[in-house]
Amino acid sequence: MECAQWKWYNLWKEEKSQMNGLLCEALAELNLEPGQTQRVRVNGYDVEIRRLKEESMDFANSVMLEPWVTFPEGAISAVVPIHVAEPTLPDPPELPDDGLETT
Amino acid sequence: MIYAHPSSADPIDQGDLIDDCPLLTALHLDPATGHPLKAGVELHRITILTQTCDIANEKVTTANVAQVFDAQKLVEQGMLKASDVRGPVRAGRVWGWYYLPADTTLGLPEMIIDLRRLHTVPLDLLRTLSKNDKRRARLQVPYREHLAKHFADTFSRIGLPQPYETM
Repeated sequence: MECAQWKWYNLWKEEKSQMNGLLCEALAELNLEPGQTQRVRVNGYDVEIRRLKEESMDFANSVMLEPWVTFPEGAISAVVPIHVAEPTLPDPPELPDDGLETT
Repeated sequence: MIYAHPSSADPIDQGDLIDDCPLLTALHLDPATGHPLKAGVELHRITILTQTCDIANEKVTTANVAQVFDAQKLVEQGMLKASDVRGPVRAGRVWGWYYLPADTTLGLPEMIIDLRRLHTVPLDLLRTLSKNDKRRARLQVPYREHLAKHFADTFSRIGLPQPYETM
């Protein structure tokens, strides 16, 4: 059995839903452009209705690109014969002194 | 301040822009005939990519450098459009290309670092160039770190076969 408070709540919810429907229909007739506003005075105070601007998700302008050209080689200032030398050793790395090296 | 102008006596550092750095390119190799290998020498503006701490602590004797190009010249050669430079390249949206703004005081044009044109050169060579007033500027913090991040991302990125689809 429904209590009186519950009945009142359901009635209020139904009325609100109908009201929202009517409000939406009325607003739809305004045909506002994005960013455009309409002001109306209701019960002595001003109400502003503004259509929000659609946020465009410009995916194409946010993705990283691969280079599409190869930059030109520079002008060769000299051509030199090369003699094969011994390979140079790498700079010695700094090894951590944590005692974990294998024996 | 994006750039500093270190004196010729200042030590070499990451982000230094140095002119006329000799870079070698192998031109001719014919093992069958035994002719000696020939190499071409190009003089390029380069920037140093090796980390500051490695250079300062003398952990390295060589530096990794990338070639630096005059953006306007690339536009004049038809390689790029001016709008490419102002748009995606400047915004850091092209893997491997890093935009550097002009500095009229230092006489630097807009530039593009090609992070795929990498060379390893002896630090002593860079020191010699610097002492001979070939160092044009030094990219300052945080721009230097921004460049280093782009450099790292260029080589550590993981590409997907295609972008995710959306509803």
